[in-house]
Amino acid sequence: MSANDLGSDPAVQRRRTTRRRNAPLFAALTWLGAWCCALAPQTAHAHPYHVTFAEATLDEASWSLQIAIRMKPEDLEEALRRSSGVEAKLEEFPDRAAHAYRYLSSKLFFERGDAPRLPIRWVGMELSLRDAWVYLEVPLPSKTRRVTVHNDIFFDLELNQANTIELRLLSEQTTLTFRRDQPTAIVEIPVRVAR
Amino acid sequence: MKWSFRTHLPVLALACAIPNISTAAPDEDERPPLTDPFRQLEETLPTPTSTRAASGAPGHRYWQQRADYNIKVRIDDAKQHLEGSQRIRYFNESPDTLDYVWLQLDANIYAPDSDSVRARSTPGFSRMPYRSLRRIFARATFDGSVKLTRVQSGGKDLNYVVVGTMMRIDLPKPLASGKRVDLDIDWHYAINDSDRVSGRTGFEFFEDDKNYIYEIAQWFPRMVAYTDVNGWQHKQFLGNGEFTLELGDYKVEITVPADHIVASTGVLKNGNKVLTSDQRARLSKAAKADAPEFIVTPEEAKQNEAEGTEEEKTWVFHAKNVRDFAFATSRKFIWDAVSHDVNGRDVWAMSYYPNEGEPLWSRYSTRSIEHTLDIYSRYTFDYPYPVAISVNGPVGGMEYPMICFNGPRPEEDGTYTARTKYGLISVIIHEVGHNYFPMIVNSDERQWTWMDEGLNTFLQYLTEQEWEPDYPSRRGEPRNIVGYMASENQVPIMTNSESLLQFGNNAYAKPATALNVLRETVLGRELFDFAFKKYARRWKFRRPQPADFFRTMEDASGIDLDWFWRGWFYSTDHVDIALTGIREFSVDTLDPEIEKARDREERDSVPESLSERRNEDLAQLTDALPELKDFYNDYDKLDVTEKDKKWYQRALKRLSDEEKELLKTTKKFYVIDLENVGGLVMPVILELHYGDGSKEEIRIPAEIWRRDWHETSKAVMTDKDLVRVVVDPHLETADTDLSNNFYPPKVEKSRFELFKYRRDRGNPMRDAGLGDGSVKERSPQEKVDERERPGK
Ligand SMILES: [Zn+2]
Repeated sequence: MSANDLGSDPAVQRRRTTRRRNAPLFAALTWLGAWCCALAPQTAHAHPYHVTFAEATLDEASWSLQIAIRMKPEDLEEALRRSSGVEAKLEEFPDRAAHAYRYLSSKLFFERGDAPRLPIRWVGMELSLRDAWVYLEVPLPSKTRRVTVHNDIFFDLELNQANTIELRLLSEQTTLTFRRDQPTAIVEIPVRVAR
Repeated sequence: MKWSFRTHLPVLALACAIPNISTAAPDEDERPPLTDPFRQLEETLPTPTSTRAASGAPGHRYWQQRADYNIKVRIDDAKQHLEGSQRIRYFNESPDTLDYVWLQLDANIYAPDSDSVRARSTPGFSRMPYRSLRRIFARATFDGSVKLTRVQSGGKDLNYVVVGTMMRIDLPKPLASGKRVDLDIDWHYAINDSDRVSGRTGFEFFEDDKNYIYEIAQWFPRMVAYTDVNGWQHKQFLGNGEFTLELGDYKVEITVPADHIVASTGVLKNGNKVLTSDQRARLSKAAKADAPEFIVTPEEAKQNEAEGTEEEKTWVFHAKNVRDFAFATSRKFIWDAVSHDVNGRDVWAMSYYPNEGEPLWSRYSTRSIEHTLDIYSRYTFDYPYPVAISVNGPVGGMEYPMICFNGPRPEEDGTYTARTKYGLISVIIHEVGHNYFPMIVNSDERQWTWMDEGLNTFLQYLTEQEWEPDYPSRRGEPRNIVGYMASENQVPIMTNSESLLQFGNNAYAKPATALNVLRETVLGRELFDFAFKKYARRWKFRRPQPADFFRTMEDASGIDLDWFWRGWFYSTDHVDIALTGIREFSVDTLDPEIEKARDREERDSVPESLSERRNEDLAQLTDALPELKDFYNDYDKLDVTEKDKKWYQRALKRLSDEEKELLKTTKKFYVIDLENVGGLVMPVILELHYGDGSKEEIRIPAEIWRRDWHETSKAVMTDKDLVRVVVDPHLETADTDLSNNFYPPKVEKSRFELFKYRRDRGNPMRDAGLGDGSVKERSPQEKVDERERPGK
């Protein structure tokens, strides 16, 4: 089987004589819950790396989480195609950063109880043949002691997707893993010491 | 931390300490003995048998079953239906008598209620894109399972039971060791539309010209492997683990529309009937050519697409000593070919693709095949088959004996991104490479995916690195896997394929990286290459198990690698070696003139404390009452006394000449303290920088951790001042945390900080207009904010 990351969906990694433009038509599918597993065959010969890795470091000076997410360019491309309805290569994707920001900030977010989600700042993006890196920043209110991290990036593409965040909070370092059955994690924020 | 302090060692003690590289004393009671990373693997590995020797070679009574196939198959192009009639001649080479046999019916994965569907956990999402919804409907209604119309032996119907993707056939009489049985099976089934129900086989429909490409694989009832290790390999096909099969000879007759071109496992036996005289002439030319030649040109393929026919032709292929058989067929195919010399053997390297694959495919596909055969043959054995084929169609990347299916295509205007180009070359190298592992070295993919995917990904990396300088390989380099290695919630590589979490990293990237580390850092290229080749040759056309690989690599290299297998294959530990301190030692010359001067220098170099400095101006009582002073007020214990000199002379007399010589040394001694934070023991590579600007690299085997696998130390003797030390300077060990690899300590920037640093310094790509514009422009969230604010 291929390990060459040719796209999580074989239908999009090659050129078809007819392009079916899938408008971002979403259907509420709760009644189909039991059938969702029928997605299985599309994973059969897709690339086998259904993972994203992120480093999230608490920057003491700005008291914000500085996040660098590494993902497969093919996955990001497919996610942007599906969410925007635009069929384009990632390298040439029109308004790529805006689409990427909109997609990623709807999948990766930070909540404090019932309060609104913490705003996420776009910092930038880098593409190589191997990886796509996206840089985001989340300023933490200084009194916040605990946030719920939600990370279901690419869960809409791949059933077996697993996302990892290496979290560095001052001297503490932990790994957060997000899967379909556990898309959130609770993080205790250290007390901010005034300098 | 204990950075750089100085101590004096008695000369004789030092002389003993030098050869002993590991000096740290373990805290014995705190060490749980079961975690010893050097514990031998004997208790974990299966006991050697007469079929599998302790050396890792096949045992003196090694056996494996054999299955020959005679198949007639027809594609109904109007209905996209496949129908077949086959005879299996099954040879029982095992010492056992078999009452029944098991066959695989992989197409049953396309039954709407197959285990592959049911065994998936139900995802928790309530919103789903349209495309996924369409697939769900297609999957729920499409039935591509196998319809069996005849199961016989010697003209008599046999009792059989279908269990998911497997079928048990009860034999008319028990099949004794050394005997054979013929099984006749007729079947048919609907071929899946890869756009709706994707998999490793299927058709692709092209709406513009109303034609199909068929890639047909895992398509006929195949004998389940029966082995000395597992007996019948009772594992349902669920989708991740691929397959394991018996080797044998095939004769296959493939009936397709008369204007189709067929690409297949095996050698075409009736070219006179199915090829035009032009095509045969071009093949003769390609047999002597240096570069691939078109057998069917792009223009001819275009013309073919437009016409169509009701007629049919039958292509006949024979294949020897293969474990499976696949083919592809279409009237859209362009076909190019060249005869490639693999160490004196001619091998046909050939590619089949539609015009939609151009110009990428004619440029790179066949060349990628040739390159793969060259490099893989160098590291294993000469490619033993007569053909090697790459086909473009609906399947993204999948391997079969002599033939593989590869997905990437350029854009509609014929342009392509670098990612598509290298994606194509890499996938072809990978899939053609699978001929070696697992088609020929016939490991069990369903149980141990790493044995083919890991080994193949490792060789793919070596092959890519000989394509062009700085080829953008995705796997193989240790630095590319550190993120995964450092994360928690992993499972060891030695885990069954279907239960692997993070399948890609565990089955492909981690073992490939492990082998690269084993080759470059642990064994060295010469030893590794010899051992790896030995493994490939021992198990060529045979069926190895993980232990056979582990044992052969040790057997042929002469190095105990149990710690390596244990760490990389049986554990989820990672590599993180920390530099925790440097201690400097000097030789005690015994000479009071030298030693006391040295001590004085050291005493004087101690900085004044804050209180001492502030107290300097205070009036002292002894200034007012000098009579309070006595002998001790002027005495300095570091003054050299007559007594010291006499003692020195006496001491010298007791020393041998050799010991006296040693006293004159000007060498400096440093002890570098190391801690194993990650748990995975590894060789330690140190780069030592000296005061005169020179540097030196020392490579210490992993056995330095043998006495204490948490902390150890390395002594270094040198004429120069040691000013800087770096652990793993070439990033070859997959060390996951580089921040503790430096003396003096160096703060490692996070990826985020590096990005900001690069961004703020400007970057040449962006200056050349190659960036995504996200930085200079108004920030994208501002744009998004105008329309919708995230989180609302
Ligand atoms: Zn593979």
